[in-house]
Order: sequence, then C-alpha cells, then structure tokens
Amino acid sequence: MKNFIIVSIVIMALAACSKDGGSNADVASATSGKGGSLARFTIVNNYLYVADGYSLKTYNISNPQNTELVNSIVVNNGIETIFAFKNQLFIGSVDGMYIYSIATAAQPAFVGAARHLRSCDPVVANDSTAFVTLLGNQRCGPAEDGLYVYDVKVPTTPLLINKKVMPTPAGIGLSDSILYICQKTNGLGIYNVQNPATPVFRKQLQNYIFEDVIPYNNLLICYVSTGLVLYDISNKTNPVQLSVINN
Amino acid sequence: MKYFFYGFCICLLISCFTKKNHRFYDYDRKVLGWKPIYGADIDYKKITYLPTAKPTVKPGKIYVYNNLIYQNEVGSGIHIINNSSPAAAQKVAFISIAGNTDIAIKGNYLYANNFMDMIVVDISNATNPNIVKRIKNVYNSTSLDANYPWLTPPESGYYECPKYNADSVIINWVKDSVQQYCRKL
Repeated sequence: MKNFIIVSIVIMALAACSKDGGSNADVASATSGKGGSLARFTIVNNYLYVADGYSLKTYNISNPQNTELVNSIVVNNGIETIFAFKNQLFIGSVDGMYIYSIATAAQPAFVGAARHLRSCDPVVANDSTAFVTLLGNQRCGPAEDGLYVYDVKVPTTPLLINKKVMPTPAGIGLSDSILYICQKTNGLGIYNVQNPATPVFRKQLQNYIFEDVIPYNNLLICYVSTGLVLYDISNKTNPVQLSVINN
Repeated sequence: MKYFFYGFCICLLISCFTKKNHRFYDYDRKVLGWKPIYGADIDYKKITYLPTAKPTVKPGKIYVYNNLIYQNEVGSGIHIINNSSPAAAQKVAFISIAGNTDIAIKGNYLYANNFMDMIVVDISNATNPNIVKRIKNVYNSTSLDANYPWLTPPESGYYECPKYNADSVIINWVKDSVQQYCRKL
C-alpha cells in the first residue's frame, strides 16, 4: 500500500510537470467570455464549437495561432444556437433540441434529442434541466410560443416537464435559479425556476423590446431593439437599470 | 418503310424538343429577382480598428468578456462597449470584419466568421487587432440564411444561383432579371 501511494505521488508529480511544461500553459489557463443564448459559437476549455446551419464544427484552439478544424458532424437542418454546460452541448434547431457529449472534447457525440414543432429555439441549461423558448412565426415554423422545460437528468431521453405558453419568447438567460426571458415587444419576463417543473412568475420589465440577454455575475446585459441596457441584478428578481447604450 | 423510319425519327426529335421546352420553360423565363454582387477576396480579408463609436444599424448578437461588451453589427463587424463602469457604459470602438455574425473570445484571441472563413484575431494590443490564422471556406453555401445572410438575398423570391470560387465572395445583392433556378422561401 505504501509503495502504491509513493508510486501514485510520483506519477501525479510527473503528470503535473508535463502539463506545466506545455508551451501553451498561458493560453490553456486563459478564461473565455460569455455569449447570449442566440450564439452559434461557444468555447469550452481548448475547443471552440460552432453550430453552423446543419453541422456542429469543432476547432482545437489550444494553440490559437494554429487553430484547426478537427471535427465536423451533421446534426440536422436548421441548427441555430449552441449552449455549453459542463460536459454537454445543447443545440437548438428549428425542429428540436439536441444534446451532445463533449467528454471527448475533440469529438462531440450525440446523446439525446427532444423533437418539437418547427420554431426558433434558444436553449439554456444546468445539471438537471434545459429551458427552451419556442417562437413560432413565418420564418421559424408553427410551434406554439412558449417556454418548454425539459428534465435532462437522463440526457439520452429529455423529458418535457412543463410548457408555459407566453407571447414572443426569444433569447433567455439563466442565473442560478432565476430565468430571464426576452419577449420582444412583450418585455422581459423574470421567473423563479428553483422547481423547474413549475416556473414561478416574478416580474415583467416593459420599457424595451427585448431580444437577448446575458447574466454576467451581478450584471444583466440586455440586447434591446434600440441598443443595450445594463441592469444590476444583485437582487436577481428586481433588476435595477444602470445604463443604456443607444444604437 | 424508309420514309416511315424518317418520319418516326422526326416525331422523336419533335417530342424531344417539346418535352425539353415544356420542362425548362418555367425555369428559363426570367423574372424580377436578386443577383449577387461579388467582391475580391483581398478586400473582404481586411479588418480595421476604428477608435471611436459608430452608430449601430443592424444590431446583432452580444458577447461579454471581462470589462468589455461586444455587439455584432450584422455582416460588417463588432461594436466594443467599455463596461468598466457599468453605470456609465459606452461604445468606444468598432472592429470591421466583413460578413461577420458571431464571435467568441478566449484570452488574447477573438474567433470570428469572416464571410465563409474562420479567422483568429490577436487582440492583445486592443487598438491593433491582427489576424493570426485564417481557415478558408468552412462556412459554405449550406449554412443557414439567418446566420450568413449574404449567401442568399435579403428577401424571399428567385435569385441567381451563386457561383462559389476561391478568390471572390458575395458582398451584396441587387434587384435584377433572373432565371428561376434558385429560390429563397
């Protein structure tokens, strides 16, 4: 047993050494930014994933100056958004939400899907739940407007646990248990999703036409039709407007 | 018998023509539609840094990294908003990237689509962004309209089917008389 521990420590020390000795240690440790829910680009560690029309493209960015396209797989027609959470990618397409595992980062692998009527559908997710907004219209398709909540504890078979009909939902953002839903001319809906099967309405902001949103620490960055609006969300259910950046 | 054979041949030829005309008539007839305008490869590859705010005309996606917020100007670049003081956040600069809709940032590098290409931009010197890597033609004709709006015309209807080649890209669309082969729904 003692020998095993010593050997283990030596191996771990060696592994740590080889990692530190890598020429891109600075790059590897750099942080990445955060996009809105309409994003098609997302970075997870040393890989950039791109939802491109019908395919999911994987770029190795461990050495940025030598960025390489390492994988391209067909998902389905009309994929529009991508959201990464831990080891999974949640891809919104016009006919469903697709879950891919990036446990092997260079080779995303299909895990499961939830099909729905044709629509536009950004996704955000956490360990157990995926929140999808469906916006039916001429371009996107006939699905009923609303928030669709999927239990993804078993990601191979996402389970619809709630469908909340609401007008014109678009971009969404999740900050812990608070969900911000941009509803275009209908404002910004704020819901408590502590119990995801029953989202609880908390507040509706009405002053702007909301398109997309990024919760970033205590800041809520809103893309509205006339520009950007920043809110302080120290109190998550009661955003306080900080500034407006006009188009 | 000989004349019968010739007659048969003529009938065959006529049937051939009428069939062809019938099949292609609708497509060949020109209608008002959209025609692509191509730009030289060398022009669309340039990125430039403008150290002042620029009006947002076609607002696009948003991205945040540390104290800066980025908003895409659909098809032409990225507005940069200084957010070091959120109560007084303001637009401070613009990076022009032709055909851009999406970005992501890690460390000193910005990843962006530049028409059909993927580019990696070194932003360690904020006022002098510099392309350090280009992967050509990764976003092709099969990409979705919504993301790559220049690959199909701005409105539904017939359009001249684009030609794809290595040294030019579609930079705009104009109204023109076109055949009815390609159609945006």
